[in-house]
Amino acid sequence: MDYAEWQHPNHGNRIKIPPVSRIVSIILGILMLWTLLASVYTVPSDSVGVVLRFGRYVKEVQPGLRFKIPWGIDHVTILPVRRQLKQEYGFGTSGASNPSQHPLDLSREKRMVTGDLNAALVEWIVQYRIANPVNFLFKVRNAEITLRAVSESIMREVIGDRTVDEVLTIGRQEIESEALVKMQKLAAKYDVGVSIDQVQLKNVNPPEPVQESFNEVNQAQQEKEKLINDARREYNKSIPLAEGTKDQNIQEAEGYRLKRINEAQGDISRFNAVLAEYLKAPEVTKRRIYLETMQEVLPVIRSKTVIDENARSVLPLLQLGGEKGGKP
Amino acid sequence: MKTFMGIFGGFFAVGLLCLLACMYTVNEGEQVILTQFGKPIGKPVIEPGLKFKVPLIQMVNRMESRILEWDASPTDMPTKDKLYISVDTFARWRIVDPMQYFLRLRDERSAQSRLDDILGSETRTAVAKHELIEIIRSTKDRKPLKDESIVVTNQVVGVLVPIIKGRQAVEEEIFKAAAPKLGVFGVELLDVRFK
Repeated sequence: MDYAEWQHPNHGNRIKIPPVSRIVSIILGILMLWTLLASVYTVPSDSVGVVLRFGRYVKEVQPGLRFKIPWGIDHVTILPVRRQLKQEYGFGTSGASNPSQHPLDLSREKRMVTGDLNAALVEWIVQYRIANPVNFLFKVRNAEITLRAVSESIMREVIGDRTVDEVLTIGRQEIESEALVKMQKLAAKYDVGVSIDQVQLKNVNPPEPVQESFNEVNQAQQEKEKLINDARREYNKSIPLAEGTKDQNIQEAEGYRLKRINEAQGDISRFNAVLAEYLKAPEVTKRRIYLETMQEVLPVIRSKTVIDENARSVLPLLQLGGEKGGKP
Repeated sequence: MKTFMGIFGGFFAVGLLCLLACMYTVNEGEQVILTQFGKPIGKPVIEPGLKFKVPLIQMVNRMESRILEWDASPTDMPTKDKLYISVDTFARWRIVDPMQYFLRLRDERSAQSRLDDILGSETRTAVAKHELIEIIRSTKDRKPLKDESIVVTNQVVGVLVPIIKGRQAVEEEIFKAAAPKLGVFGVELLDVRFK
């Protein structure tokens, strides 16, 4: 069957099928297009492509438009070697493109025991890059899962060697740097092909039941400070006042003493002066004192009736002064 | 002419199929044992690349040559001071003797289950022989940093419990006990660690 025969349908009872050459050319065309499409690929700027030919590692290719042999001969794995990758432990932010970033079981992962047998909840991150794509792919299977195991193991080891005070407060930086050094060492031992750049502790907390008590301790400490300050203020306010009052009282008492002493001394000298005068003429003075005293005394007493011892009748006499009597 | 083309095409196609059936690739990170009717033939193929075999009667058995992980699920076990702790161990291993591995274990699933058995029981033994603190701490005479501003009121906090051996030594014990048992399977244990 050729092209001319196919062009004339009423030329005998032949079945109308396209000629072989046309089918072949269509198939070849599709094949060539497919080959072309399958042999072109791009490597993004943050990555390199690792090329395997018949399963054997051939080369690494840099970013750009690249070609390979199709039909399953060349295989290219693209790895983001320049990107800073990270893994989160004990917590997870959603929407990460790196599947190993998020922990599988975060509540189990973050519970740790410290060297003085206390519990702590530790969250941390590890930042790393793929340093050696060949090791990363062909030396270790699941390099990133291995890295997770390494990181968790090391962090527990480091935390297990420290007191809870160090873990929660003062030893954070030391923990980070020691964990980093140990992780780098172990990653090198396993040949995982990653370089660990940073280990950073995030939230480090006491376990939930204890957290409340921690807050209470803090509150109590603040309360203590406040009470001390209050007391100090009260002290400052009242003590100087009392000191002032004390001084004032002392001054007053001192003044009073002086006044009394001076008064008494004045009295003494006056008395002495009077005494000296008395001593000069005791009779006159005696008389004068008698008169003066009588002057004072007589107006006060009632009328007195002096009766002769021979007198018989007292009654009339008594009646005489009856109205006046009784009153001074 | 047409029949010749047809015959040629047919032969070509069959030839191509035969050629394809003869070839196999060994990937980077893989090793292969050829079996003929179930019987291992020749040395294990370790080098990656394009390889040839007798079609149909020879089978390709692939296995890993990379370092593999073994990650136990966390298990509760008692320590010497009879405290129950949840222990999570992981180990690295690889197939060093593919033939032995192939004969004794055949595939990775059974290898993982042997590792579970052996490492699991060795871990229990080692943990039960030591007190809790030996598994937690690692450096013997580390002096903890102290915050001078905090007055120590109770002696439990802020003091590291003394240890005799430490974590690494216990890990080492598990490793030493388990490594020869795994050696007979053609498996080399590289490392055992607590998580």
